[in-house]
Amino acid sequence: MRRPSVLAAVAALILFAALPPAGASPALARTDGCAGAGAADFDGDGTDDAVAGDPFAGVGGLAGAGAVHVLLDAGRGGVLALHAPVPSAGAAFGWSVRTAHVDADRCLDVIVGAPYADQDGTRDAGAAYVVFGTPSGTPRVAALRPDPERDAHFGWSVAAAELGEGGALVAVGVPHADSDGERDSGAIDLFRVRETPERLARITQDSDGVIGNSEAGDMYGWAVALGRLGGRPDDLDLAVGVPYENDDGAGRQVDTGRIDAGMVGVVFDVITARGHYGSVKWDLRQATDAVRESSGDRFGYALDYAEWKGDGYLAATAPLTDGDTKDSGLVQVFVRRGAGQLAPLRALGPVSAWSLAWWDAGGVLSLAAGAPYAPSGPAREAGVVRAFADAGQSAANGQLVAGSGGRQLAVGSAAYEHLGAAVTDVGGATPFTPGRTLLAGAPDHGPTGAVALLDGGRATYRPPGTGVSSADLGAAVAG
Amino acid sequence: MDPTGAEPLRPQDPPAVGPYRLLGRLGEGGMGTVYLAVAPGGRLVAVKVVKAQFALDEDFAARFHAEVGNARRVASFCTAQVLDNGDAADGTPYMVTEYIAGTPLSRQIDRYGPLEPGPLHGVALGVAAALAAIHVAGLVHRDLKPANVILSLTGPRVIDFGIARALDTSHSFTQSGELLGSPGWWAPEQVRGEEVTPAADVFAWGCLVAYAGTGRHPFGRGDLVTLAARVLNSRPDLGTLPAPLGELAHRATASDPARRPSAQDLLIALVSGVVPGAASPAAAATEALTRSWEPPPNVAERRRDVAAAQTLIDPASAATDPRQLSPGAGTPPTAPPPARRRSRGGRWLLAAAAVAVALSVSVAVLVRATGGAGRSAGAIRPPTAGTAAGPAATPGPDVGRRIHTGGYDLQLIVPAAPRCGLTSYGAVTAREGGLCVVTWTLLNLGGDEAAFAASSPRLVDDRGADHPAEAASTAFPDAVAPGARADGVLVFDLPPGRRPATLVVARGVEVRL
Repeated sequence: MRRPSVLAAVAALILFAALPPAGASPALARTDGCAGAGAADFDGDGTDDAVAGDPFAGVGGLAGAGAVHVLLDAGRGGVLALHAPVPSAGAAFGWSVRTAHVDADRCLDVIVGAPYADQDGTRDAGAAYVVFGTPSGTPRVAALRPDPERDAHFGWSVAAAELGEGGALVAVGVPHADSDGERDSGAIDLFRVRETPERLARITQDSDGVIGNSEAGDMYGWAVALGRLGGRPDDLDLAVGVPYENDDGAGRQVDTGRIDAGMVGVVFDVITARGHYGSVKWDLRQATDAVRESSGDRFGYALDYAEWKGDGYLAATAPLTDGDTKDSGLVQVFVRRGAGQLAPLRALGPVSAWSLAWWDAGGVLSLAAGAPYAPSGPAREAGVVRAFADAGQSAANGQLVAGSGGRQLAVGSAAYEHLGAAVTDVGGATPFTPGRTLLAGAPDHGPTGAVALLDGGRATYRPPGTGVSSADLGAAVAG
Repeated sequence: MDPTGAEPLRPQDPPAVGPYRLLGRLGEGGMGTVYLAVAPGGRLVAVKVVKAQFALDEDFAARFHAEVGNARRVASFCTAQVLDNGDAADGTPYMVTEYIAGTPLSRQIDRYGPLEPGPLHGVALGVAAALAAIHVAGLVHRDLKPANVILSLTGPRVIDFGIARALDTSHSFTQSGELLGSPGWWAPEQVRGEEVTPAADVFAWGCLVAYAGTGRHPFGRGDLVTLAARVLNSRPDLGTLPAPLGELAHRATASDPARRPSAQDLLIALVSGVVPGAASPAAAATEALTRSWEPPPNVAERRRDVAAAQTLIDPASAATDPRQLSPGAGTPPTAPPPARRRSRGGRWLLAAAAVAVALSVSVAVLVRATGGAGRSAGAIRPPTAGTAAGPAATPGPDVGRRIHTGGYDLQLIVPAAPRCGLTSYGAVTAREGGLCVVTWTLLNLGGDEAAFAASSPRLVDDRGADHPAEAASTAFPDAVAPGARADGVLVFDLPPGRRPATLVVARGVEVRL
């Protein structure tokens, strides 16, 4: 029965069949539960969903394994808890989250970073996952794996954008990678993902065409965003927030100049440029006159990109700039008009924002800034979410700070709850389309953390579901 | 040995069923035939095609597909995920599930004898978990037997739960009188043709565990009539099984279905004590299986071959963690590398199995909880029983909070309330009353190394008394590198009746518990 010739024949069939056939067209329409999915809908039930990271959650008795909560109907419905395929203690799954349509079905997929996951025994190398949205049952998960490097924290930040030909480009920040021989200089790994991931490139500050040098402690890749910021209009560009970059002149320097002033850089055409990139970068002095750059400003701590009426907008925060008061902070907005290239537009503030989200506030492009350490009356560090309406408009006199500092959209309900540690729009059909609903994380709201749906000036809190031991829900949010 | 278990297709087999290209036959039973096939995306699947004579029934196709819809709700942990269903070109209904590479329990016991206690416990746990998932989805397996339990690298998987059989909801006989199912693994009520409930699956679980542990069928061997009579008239011979399986199998095979434990009860009994404080039985079972699943040596030996073969097929993923090749909860093997037993052609099929497994990417366990607006829950609910001794207290305001220890960057987190009332922890035994264990994490989110000046940590109880940390506590680091984290525990010995109030870690760093 087991003659070798039969085995070989069957084996040949299997090996041949294992390669995806060209032009595959799965005829699954009858059972495709995602056919009726909304624009940003994980479970295909027609309502838009949001996701929130809970990186210190305990899962199945494993402390700190981390979980991601899928908030059905933006928190008005039930909650699904997702965790890593093999949860491990302390991995911090859910440290970063983003959403995009990655595989062929219409359900929204979730990209998750677990920067403290061990890989093959390499401590804290990090991991990232794509969890594919599904109407029922257990979701399929694809793992994005780097070359394991100890303490590199692959998955600290993630970004994703849909590709025209199907699938998505996923960028994973590895800010503690010791790139180019420099400790914690940082890197970003790019993957193309459809059903399975394909590693494309690693970008560091020493990559060909990337302005800047890999210096120790830069942590390039702390924040990442994908967008269309210049170069070829049909290719994606990568925006990088480097809050711990020192402003210290050309060439490789260590601990000189203004320490941790920060930088925002853009690498153009990351897919077609294939290792020979074009790029630009700004430190705070180059971006704005609104404040004087000093050590510790942390420009680039958080980024967000959105498109509106044919233009692209990138917002970057510098939470610890000193204005009238110490650490008053500001947000810098850049714009790409039409087929042009990104350029500074205006500064907004003062606001000590540690998270940003573009959103559609009733037909007006607005920017939400989360300020988790802001007090609310006597409640210290309750957190505040500020909104800047018309953030995409040029300021009347060039790049000066808008005096009003935006409008207070929501305040934390209790001291130290850190509302605004993360903010996101919910319901945008693509990662670049601002949604109409706003969700903010309050990771220290009670022992489990919570997310708050911000609607008409009210914050409706949504605690986590059961199934995991939540500790930190709302440390990261996406929608 | 043939890892896929597939025999060649026969001349009368079609080349494809729906969009699935058939590669071989996995088995044939009373209801239909199961084929190994490849899906359009390249994934290996199992396609079950119902026998033509059943398809003649007009209602059959509609009911079949409705039942498949139910089966898709079954969480795929420990079972084969239902992927698809449809009608073949000639109108015969079919269903598609994951293909599970592994050894059927029946073949395992036949060739290698009874299971060692480690794998036996894993099988008992995995099959109980599968039954719990099947039952919570409103289905009954109806034909649980060793041939339907696949021992895979990642754990036992129950396949072939009764889709078509469920159509004949109250009887195990078709209209033509043919018996559906396998004699000798049936509960008495099934033999009598009475209503079949989830308790019948539990009876089969008991018999299966006994068979796997002793190598003998609890009702012996014989023809259909002989076995049926024995099932009706005598108790099964369960042999001697390691605790707690003996007791559980005895209760599971009670003649009265109402006296048998539910699958959920079995699961809780098997995981409690293994994973204290788990969030839910499903998560606890995942954790317990992850820790404890020891595939029998013949199943485990494939692991290194699989990893090597994967490199052969796909050099780009040479750095892939072999664990990631397996669907479901994976575990590093604890069995020592055994003697190689590879047939000459086996290497090619191992490679194929590796590709198949790699293509079917890992699965995350989904736990659904109800929200505010009455969505129905689909999965196992967390148990309400607590695990710590002593009265439950509301966690203090600093539990789960990121506490700044000076500046924005160095943060201390105590993610959960202390576990108290323990009589021992590690090498420390409570002398005063009970031990309280506080888990902590120190995290540096800044760009520079952060110094941490921890004085001797102490716990202030609810009467204001100070308690120093016991020797088993983890020492705080002097400094934390950028991006690094330190994790540890603090153990305190508290007199009876005292509750923890505040943890004082350093000057100005206090955690209200």
